[in-house]
Amino acid sequence: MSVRKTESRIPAGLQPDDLGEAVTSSDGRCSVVSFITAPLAVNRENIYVIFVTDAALAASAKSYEWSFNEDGGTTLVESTEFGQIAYTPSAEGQLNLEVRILDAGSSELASLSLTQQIGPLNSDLESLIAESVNKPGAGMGNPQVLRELVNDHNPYYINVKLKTPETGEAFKKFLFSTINDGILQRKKEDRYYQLDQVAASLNSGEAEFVSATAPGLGVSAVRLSLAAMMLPPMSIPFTELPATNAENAVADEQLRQKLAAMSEDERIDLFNIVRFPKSNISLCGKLLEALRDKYFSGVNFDDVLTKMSGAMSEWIILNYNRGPLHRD
Amino acid sequence: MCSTTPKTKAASPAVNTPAQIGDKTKAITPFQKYLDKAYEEVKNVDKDLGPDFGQKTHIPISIFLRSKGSIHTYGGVFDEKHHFSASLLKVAAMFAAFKLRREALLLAEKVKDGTVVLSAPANQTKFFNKLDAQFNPNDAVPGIATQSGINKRPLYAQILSVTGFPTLASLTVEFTPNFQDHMLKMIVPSDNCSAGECIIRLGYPYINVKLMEDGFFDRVSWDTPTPKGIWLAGDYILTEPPAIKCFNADKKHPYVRITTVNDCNEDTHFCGSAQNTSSKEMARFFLKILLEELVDKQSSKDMRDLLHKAQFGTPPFIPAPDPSFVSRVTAFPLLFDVDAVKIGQGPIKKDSERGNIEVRSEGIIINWKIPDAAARKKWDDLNLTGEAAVCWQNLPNDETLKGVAKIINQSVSKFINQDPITP
Repeated sequence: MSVRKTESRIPAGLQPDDLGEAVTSSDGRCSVVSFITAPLAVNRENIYVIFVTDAALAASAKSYEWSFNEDGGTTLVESTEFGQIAYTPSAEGQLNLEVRILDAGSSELASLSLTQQIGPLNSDLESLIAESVNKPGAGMGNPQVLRELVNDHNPYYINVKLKTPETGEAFKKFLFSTINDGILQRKKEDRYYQLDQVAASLNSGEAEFVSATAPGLGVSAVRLSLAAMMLPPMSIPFTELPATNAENAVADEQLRQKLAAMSEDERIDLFNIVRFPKSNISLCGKLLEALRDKYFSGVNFDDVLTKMSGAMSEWIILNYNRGPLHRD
Repeated sequence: MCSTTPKTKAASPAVNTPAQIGDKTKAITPFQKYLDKAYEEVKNVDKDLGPDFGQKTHIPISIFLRSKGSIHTYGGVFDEKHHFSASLLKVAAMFAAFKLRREALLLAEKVKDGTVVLSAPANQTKFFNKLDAQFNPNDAVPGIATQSGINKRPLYAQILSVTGFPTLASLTVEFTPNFQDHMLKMIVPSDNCSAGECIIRLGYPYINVKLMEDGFFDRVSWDTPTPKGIWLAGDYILTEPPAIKCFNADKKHPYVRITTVNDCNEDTHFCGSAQNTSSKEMARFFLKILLEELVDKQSSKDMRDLLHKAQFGTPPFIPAPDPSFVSRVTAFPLLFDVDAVKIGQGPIKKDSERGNIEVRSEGIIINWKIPDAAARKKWDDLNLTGEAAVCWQNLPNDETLKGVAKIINQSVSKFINQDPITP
C-alpha cells in the first residue's frame, strides 16, 4: 500500500507542529507527528502518524518500519502498511523513535527520528484525585477523563487564545469543560473507530462519508459540518437547524451531504484537523468563540459562564452539539 | 433576587480545578527540591537546626506558596509528624470561636426568615438552646467525649451576645466584649490565662469537633502512635507559682494528651501532649486564612487581623505584641515580611539528651519582597502571588533562628529564580 490520501497532505494553512509534536525531514518530503507533546506519561498510549507530502516519495513508499527504544533498552520494531501506529511507553526516561519509509524491496527511502521524555502521571492531578477520594460529594470529575486531559492534552488547551483576548480564566474553563465532555462521551477506542470510519470513507470509500461524519469527532467531539459552516472559509452556507430531535436529525444529514460535496482536499484537511488532539482542541476553541460572537456578541466569557444562571453557556454548548439551532 | 451562582459544569470546581494545572511542557524544578536542598545545607553544613538526636529533634517546616489559581505550590520536611507546639495551638481555639459565631449567625438568619421558630417571648436563652441543640459533644473523639471534669458544651452566653429581641428581624450576633478581650489577649501577647478562658468556655469537645469537621484532624488517628492534624485539649492555665497564677486557676481542666514525637519522658516513655500539630496541617490552616476561606470570608479577615496584631501590635500597644521568631533575625536580610503570626514556646518533658529546654514553633503569613517588575514577572510566570503560609516547629529555644530564616529565604528565592540545583 502506498501513502493513504489522509497522510498525503498537511491541512492547508497549517504546519506539522500545528497538529502535534512534529519532526520534518530536512528535504521537507515527510513529517512524523505525535498526538501527545512530550513529556509523555508512563503507560499512556500515544499515536504517531507519518505524512508523506512528496508525490514521488509517496508513489514509491510501500511500508513503514517503526523502532521504539526506551533508555537504551530492547528496541521494539514494528511494521505497518500505512503511516500510523500506537505506542505505550513503559517506564520513565527517554523514548527514541525512528521511522523508516520502505519501498517494495524493503529498501529505505526516508527516515525520521523523534526523541521524547517519559515522566510519571501529573503529580498535581494525582494529588487532587487522591484528596477528592477522602471528601464527601462530587469533589472531582471523572479521573480517567481528567488524566487524559491533563497528561496528554494540557499544553494544547492552555495555549488556545481568543481572537479578542480577555482577562481571567473563564474561556479556558469553558474550553476545558467542553473537551472534558467530549472525552466523557465516548471511550478512546470508540473515538478512534469513528475517526477510522471517516478515514476509510476518504481513502477507499469503504465507509460512507455522510454517516461517518454524523457524530462529533476527536477529543472535543467536533462536528465537521459546524466547523465548515462557522469558520473560514465557510465552505457550507450558514444554515440553522430545527431544535426538535427528529427534524434536527434530518436537517443535520442534509448538512452533511453538503459537507460530502466539498472538495476531497477540503474534506481530508478537516479530517486531519479533528484527528489530532492539538488541532482538534484549537478548532473547538475557535468554534466556542464563533458561537459566542454569533449569539452573544460583546459578552465576555466570564459573563457567559456566570450571568443568567449560565443560560448563555448552555445555549452555546447546545449549538456546539446540535446546532446552529433556529431560535423562534 | 436573581442568583449569580454559576450553574454550568464549566464553572464547577470539580471539573475546572484541574484546568488550573500548569503547562506540562514548561518544565519547572519543583519547589520541594529547593526546600530539601536548603534544609540539608542549613542542617548539615551550617548546623543551625540544633543537635540531631533523631526524630525527636527534627525541625518540621511546611511552606505553601499562594497561587493565583486554586493549586498552591507546597513543600514540606518532616511535615506530617505530630509535634508538641505549645501556644501555637491557641489558634485552634480562635478558629472554634469564629465557627461558633458563624453558626449563630446562620441560626439568626433562620430565625429571621421563620425557618426556625423561637417560642414567645423570644430571647437569647431560647436562641442559645436552639444553637446548643445543633451540637453533640459525643461527636468528639472518645478520649475527649468521655473525659470527666471538663466543660462538655460551649458556654454560649459567655462567648456570644445576641441582641435585637423581641424584634426578630433585627437580630444581631457578636462576641461578648469580655470574650473578645480574652481572645485578643490569647493571640496578641499569647496570654495563658485568657487562652484558658476561651478554651474552657468553648470546651474541648467543641474545638475538637470543629477541627475534625473542617478536615484539620483525622479522627481515626487520635489514639494511634501517629495522630494526624491539629489537636488542642489543654487550657494553658497556670496554677503556680503564686506570682503568675492565673485569675481563673480554679477552673483548671485536666488535659487530654495524645502521642507526639518530640515530647517524651525519657523515664516513663510517655509522649502524650495536649497542644500539638503537624506542620503541614498548621500551614494549611494559615493558608486558609490567607485565602479568606477559613470559616467564611469575614471570619478569616477577623482572624488575620488578630494574627496581624500579634506581629505588629496596635496603638496604644497594650497588650504588647508577640512577633514572629524569624522576623527577629538580623544576621542577614530577610527576603520576606511577616504579616501575621502565632508563636509557641513551651517546655518539653524530661530528656537529658536535649536538656532543660523549651521548644519553639510558629505559624506565619508572609509577603515576599518583590522589588521590581522583573522580579514580579518571575512570580507571575509561576502563577504565584508572592504570599505564603508557613509553619515550622520544635526548634530549641537556645538555638539560633537564622537556620529557619535561611531555609525560607533560600528555598523560595531559588525556586522563583529556578536556579540550577548543584549536588
